Amino acid sequence: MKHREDIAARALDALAADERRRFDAEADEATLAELSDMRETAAALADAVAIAPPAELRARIFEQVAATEQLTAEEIAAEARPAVAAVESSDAVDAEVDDDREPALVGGGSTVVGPRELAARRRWFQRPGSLLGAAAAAVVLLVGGIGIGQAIRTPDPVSALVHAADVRTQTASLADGSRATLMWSDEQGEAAFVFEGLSQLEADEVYQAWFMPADGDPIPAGTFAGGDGSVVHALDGTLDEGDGVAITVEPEGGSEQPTTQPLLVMGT
Amino acid sequence: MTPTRRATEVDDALVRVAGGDREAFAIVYDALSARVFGLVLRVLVDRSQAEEVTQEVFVDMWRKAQTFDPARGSSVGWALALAHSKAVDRVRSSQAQRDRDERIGIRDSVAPFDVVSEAADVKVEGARVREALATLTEAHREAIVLAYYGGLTQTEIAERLDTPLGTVKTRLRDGMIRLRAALGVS
Repeated sequence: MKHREDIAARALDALAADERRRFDAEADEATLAELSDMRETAAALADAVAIAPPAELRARIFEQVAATEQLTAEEIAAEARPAVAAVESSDAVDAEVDDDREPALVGGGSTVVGPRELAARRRWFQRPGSLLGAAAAAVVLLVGGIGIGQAIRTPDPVSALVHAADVRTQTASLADGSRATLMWSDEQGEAAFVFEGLSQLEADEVYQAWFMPADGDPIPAGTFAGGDGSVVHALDGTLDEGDGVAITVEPEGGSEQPTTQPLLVMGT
Repeated sequence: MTPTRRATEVDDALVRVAGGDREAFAIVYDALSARVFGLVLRVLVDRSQAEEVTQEVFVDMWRKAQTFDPARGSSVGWALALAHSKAVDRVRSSQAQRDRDERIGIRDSVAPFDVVSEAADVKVEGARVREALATLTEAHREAIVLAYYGGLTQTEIAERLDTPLGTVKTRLRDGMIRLRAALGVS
């Protein structure tokens, strides 16, 4: 039995990314059988902390499930492939964490990042998840409950994005408490932000979006204002595969290059 | 209704979910949501993040129901492994972790457990788990609690307790074996 000493830690998700990768790659049948057994024991621990979720959550989940296609076995296998890259990438992030404990992914304290660091963050964000599901959630977010049919009436690039076969999304919180969802399609080279509750700025300030290529300066991607409810900003220009995106606050009219620390940096 | 019988019914429902059965999905949701949400909330502390991750977990269960194989384990084990790994992924992203540390000071809000579940059978099971945990030595219980409810890696546990990593591995392993025995999970 390989990695016998780590089976309990694996069942409790207590392995670091590199340890987990090694464990998963090398585990034999006997190890996996015991892992499955330990997972049943670990699952029992959830009984002690069970709390009924709010009823609205059930409604939200069922709404999203209604709009979400199930994956075939082949698609699940295909989605598992990027998972390998994702595990590797979290090593990079772990290393970064060990170095300085300050890898601010989002939030007011984040710093302008170099290409290497951005590359690490980009890979970090490129994790398998409920991508189609998240895209469906973004549709719901966009239409604000008025019905999915009306999503088609949103600005064209966004509508095209929502329906792109390869649309992916990421969500993050900003320091002002608002939520930002980035949707993008590498095939279409399009990206858009949907904000919820984005703060209003001073009259002479705007938000500005940026493409962050791994090997070049930030590229302006349009300005926009905050506002109550949903704010949608389709990024101007073309998203190249792997570009990061960022948001800064700039003087009215926008800037050629960022003049403030980003509020948000996300990878695609 | 015994927990065992209920668990089997949920396993059957999850198998039907793989075939696109939305009514079966409702059965699975209603049986597991308190445990999934409670666990994710315990790990993340932040309620809105916990709701978000719970939503991801259930949507993923719907999308990937095909990967559930009742011959390899129960639906509860499958679902909670998914829920726990997503919660831990989230908490290990630095922002979430900072938010959380600010909220609770640090992660050892371990006991007492407050169970606010509607489902009586989950309450009963919760009491059983707390009793089982109480039979462990303090060292075993502490390691398991820091890992599972705290979302720490074994290396972080070793640093936190100022204990060699090898000792932590042994505590996790022995602790889980004893917990399994105390619970009578076969």
